[in-house]
Amino acid sequence: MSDSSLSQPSRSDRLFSSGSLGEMIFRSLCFSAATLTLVAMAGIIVSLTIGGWPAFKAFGINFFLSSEWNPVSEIYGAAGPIIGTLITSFLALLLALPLAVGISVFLVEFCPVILARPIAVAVELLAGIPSIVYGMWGLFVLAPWFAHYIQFPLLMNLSSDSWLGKMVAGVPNGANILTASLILAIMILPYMASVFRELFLTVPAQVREAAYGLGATPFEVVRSVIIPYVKRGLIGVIMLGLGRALGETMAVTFIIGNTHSLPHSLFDSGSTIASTIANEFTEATSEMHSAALTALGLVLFMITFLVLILARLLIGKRS
Amino acid sequence: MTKNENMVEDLEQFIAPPPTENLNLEARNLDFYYGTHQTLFNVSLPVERNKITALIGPSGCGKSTLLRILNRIYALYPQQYAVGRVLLDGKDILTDHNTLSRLKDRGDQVELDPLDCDISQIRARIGMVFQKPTPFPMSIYDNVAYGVRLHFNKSRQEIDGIVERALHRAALWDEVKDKLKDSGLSLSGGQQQRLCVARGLAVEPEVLLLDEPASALDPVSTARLEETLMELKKDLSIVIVTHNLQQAARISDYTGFMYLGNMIEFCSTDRLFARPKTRRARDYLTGRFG
Ligand SMILES: Nc1ncnc2c1ncn2[C@@H]1O[C@H](COP(=O)(O)OP(=O)(O)OP(=O)(O)O)[C@@H](O)[C@H]1O
Ligand SMILES: [Mg+2]
Repeated sequence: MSDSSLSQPSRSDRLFSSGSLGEMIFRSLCFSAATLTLVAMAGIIVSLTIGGWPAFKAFGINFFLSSEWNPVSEIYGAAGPIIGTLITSFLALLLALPLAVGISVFLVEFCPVILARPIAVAVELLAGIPSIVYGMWGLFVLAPWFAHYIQFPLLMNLSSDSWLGKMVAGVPNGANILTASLILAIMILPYMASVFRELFLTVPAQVREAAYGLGATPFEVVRSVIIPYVKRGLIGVIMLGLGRALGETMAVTFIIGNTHSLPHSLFDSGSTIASTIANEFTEATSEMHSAALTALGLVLFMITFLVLILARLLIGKRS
Repeated sequence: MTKNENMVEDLEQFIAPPPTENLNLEARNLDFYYGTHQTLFNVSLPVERNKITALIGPSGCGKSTLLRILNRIYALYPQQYAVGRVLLDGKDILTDHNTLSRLKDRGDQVELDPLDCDISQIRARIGMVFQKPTPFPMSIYDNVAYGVRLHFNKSRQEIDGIVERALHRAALWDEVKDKLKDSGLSLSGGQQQRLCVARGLAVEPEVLLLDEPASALDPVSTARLEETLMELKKDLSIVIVTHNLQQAARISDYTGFMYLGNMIEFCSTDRLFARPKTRRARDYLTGRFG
């Protein structure tokens, strides 16, 4: 074999040959973009920790365990908002998940062609409504309706000693844990439904056809082929929805009632971390009050962080 | 309507069907539409019981479309429709309201005799293996057991036996017997295709429709699959689409040659390959196709 047949034409004139200046600039730009996020995250954690440190130091474990939150006597126990955040978010997820699956499966599998597009667009539009609008609707429409048609009748008719009576005890003004969860559910529902729909559409047509071709019914196809096919994506979307519910501020602040004690029933007013911060930050004059709110911020950050890690673990297990 | 642009002028046809009393499945005078686009024109296909019927023809002539009508997969899509009749053991299986009114529109004077069972049972009786491999997102074992669990109430041991037998028949057992719990998606393309064959066999259909089952297989697996088919026809009727003319000649009893949505020639395989009647079939078989 002659040497000349192997020799390549010179390529040194290329701007982006590896090792060239252009390539190096490109690579370092990408690198700095990636490191920037890390730096930002570290910065947030550090400043939240420093800001909240006085509160952690003063109250120790009681910051998490005590539910006495009293700016006047400068005692801060955050169990109320923390529990409120977790309950409302999980309740919202519990309410929204089956509905979102139902909507998206209907759109993909059963919906007549003429209806599919309008409904899909409507769901996407709903997903884009700003949260403050949901909050106002919750305050002006949902809360009075709920108080009048559900809370009052239940209060009047259930003995306050019964188990169910205890579940629904509370001031009948419609501002409570359950209505907050409802609003959150309504907010994350369209988001989850529209992403679920997109996920279901990624299942190859031949795979669906093969399942139907074996004589499976639509329910069997959805349950054992379509959902497993996009399981990882579904878990990711559920966790993002949960994350959205955890951090949602405006809508919840409007309707949760904003009391810091531990909620005793579903119909009791309460607070979440985000609503507490939003309500009190402007009025936090004492150092300890700001420190406590900053510490709350760090706790919320950690909760969302844990949710993301949980999602990673769940997704990783399937692969 | 684009109806006429695909029509073959000087439609020279030669159809020599098997005796009608032996037919397991029969398509009669089918027109098929993807929306407004007509892709089959008055196609008939007799499928004799316990025989292998091959479909050949150039790419895009409508072979897959014909199979999709036979087990009514097309019905998943509201825009697609067939006009004509498909008889399973003499009973109509294309008999919804729309089909009936379209048959009338076309001027067919027919007395329908519908098969009294629902579409999933029809599909269980007429199995189909698709052109592209379509493993489900579950283990190899569950892939094969899937259809069995849908239609039969079998014990764990019985299903184990069925799965093993189906994988043997599809010439896949030796390669997967140690990893039945692995995902079906982890197999190679050719293995996935044999997995789909096994999945189709496991439910023991009466008719098996195979759309190019050997297109991703090496010669050894292809030979094993062909052996399997020869043996299977003792129990069921087979329709196989293939681009491999030798394969059609080797294994099939009847062959249909399609061209641009028309059934041009249909007769016993020996006869078609030895003395094709129509000019188009002759050209196709001798590779002089333009
Ligand atoms: N989903 C679809 N929508 C519209 N037209 C389609 C669709 N699928 C197939 N067709 C058309 O129908 C005709 C027949 O297609 P078909 O898939 O049946 O061909 P085929 O004979 O199986 O070809 P091949 O050998 O390449 O698989 C083609 O002209 C194709 O363009
Ligand atoms: Mg095809």
